[in-house]
Amino acid sequence: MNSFEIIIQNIKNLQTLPTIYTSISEALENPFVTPQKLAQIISIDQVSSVKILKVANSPFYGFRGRIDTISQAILYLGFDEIKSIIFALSVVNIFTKDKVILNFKPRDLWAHSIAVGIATRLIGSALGERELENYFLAGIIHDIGKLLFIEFMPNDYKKVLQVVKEKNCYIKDAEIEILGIDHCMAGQILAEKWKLPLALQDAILLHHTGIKASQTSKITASVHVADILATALDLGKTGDNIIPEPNFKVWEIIKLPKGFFLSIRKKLIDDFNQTIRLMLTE
Amino acid sequence: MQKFITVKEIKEGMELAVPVRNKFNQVLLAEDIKLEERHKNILLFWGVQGIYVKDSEGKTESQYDEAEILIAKDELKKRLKWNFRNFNEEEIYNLALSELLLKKMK
Repeated sequence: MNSFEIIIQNIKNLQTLPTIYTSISEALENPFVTPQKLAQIISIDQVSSVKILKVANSPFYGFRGRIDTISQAILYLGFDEIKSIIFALSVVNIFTKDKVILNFKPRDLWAHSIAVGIATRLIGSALGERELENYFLAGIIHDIGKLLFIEFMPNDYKKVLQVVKEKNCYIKDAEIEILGIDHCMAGQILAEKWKLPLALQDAILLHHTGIKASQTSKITASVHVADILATALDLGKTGDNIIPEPNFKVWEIIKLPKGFFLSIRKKLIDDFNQTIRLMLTE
Repeated sequence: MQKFITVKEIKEGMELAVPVRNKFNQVLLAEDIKLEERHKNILLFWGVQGIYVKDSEGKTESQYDEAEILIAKDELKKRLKWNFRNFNEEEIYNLALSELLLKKMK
């Protein structure tokens, strides 16, 4: 089997998302589901319940210390936001965070992904978008393909990182050279297996180009720009040392006013520091 | 200058820099309006999470001398191999440069 076939096989065998996430997704398909029913499902998983309360009370949402129960968290944040928090926490827990390959740590990659999630959400908010939880999630999972490589092909990925070091090239190009598949494609295949919304699958597949040939997606364009911004601010690590060039066409899709990036810098860094503490500590 | 803030960060007297519109493009709050505490609840009720307000603080003076900036720019070229083409890209470039200068200071 070549690298491409190995990774596809491993994605097929990879565990599904944790029960709590699938149970909540199923419950939310019923339009008459009550917050109490949802709270009941979440409360079965003690670890997730505690984490949700921590996240809900973080400065990220601005309700600091006022949310005491899961039911309250659902009422304040809404069904979709709670689902998004559970998804983000579940995905972080599926992959190992402590495997180190040539100084590249999954923990640092998660830190980068969290920064991209927060920045994508800030961009979505500035664009007046409503489904901000999808913006956050798209950013969180955009590099999930790299975690698959680290998890299942650590030796081959070591070669990828060596090529990056020698050539100072994009990690995406080194992945194609060594593995025959890049993290965008691998991540999209996993997202498809997990039946994530198409908007999220596109954001994973196209975050380096920022656009889709047939149609424009604000989420994909936002992740593309947020990825560049987080790299420019050195929030977490991506595996290469390059600040990618924005695709000029994204500025037609997401029109951000002068001063936008300078104005969100402080909020992005503050929220980043809070969120990595919440999401990356056991 | 204008800056983006979340609704919770609104303070009395701030001035709206960009009108708040609904999805039908109707103006809900006009530009230049002076914001009050009550606007927080109104905006949240409308589902608005963030707004642009006028930034009276303006730019801060550079804390670095020309030589330091030139060295940092040279170093940044190894990581950032493109030229900015609009104000959005210029801001990203400047943020990367400031980050590098800040790291050097530490």
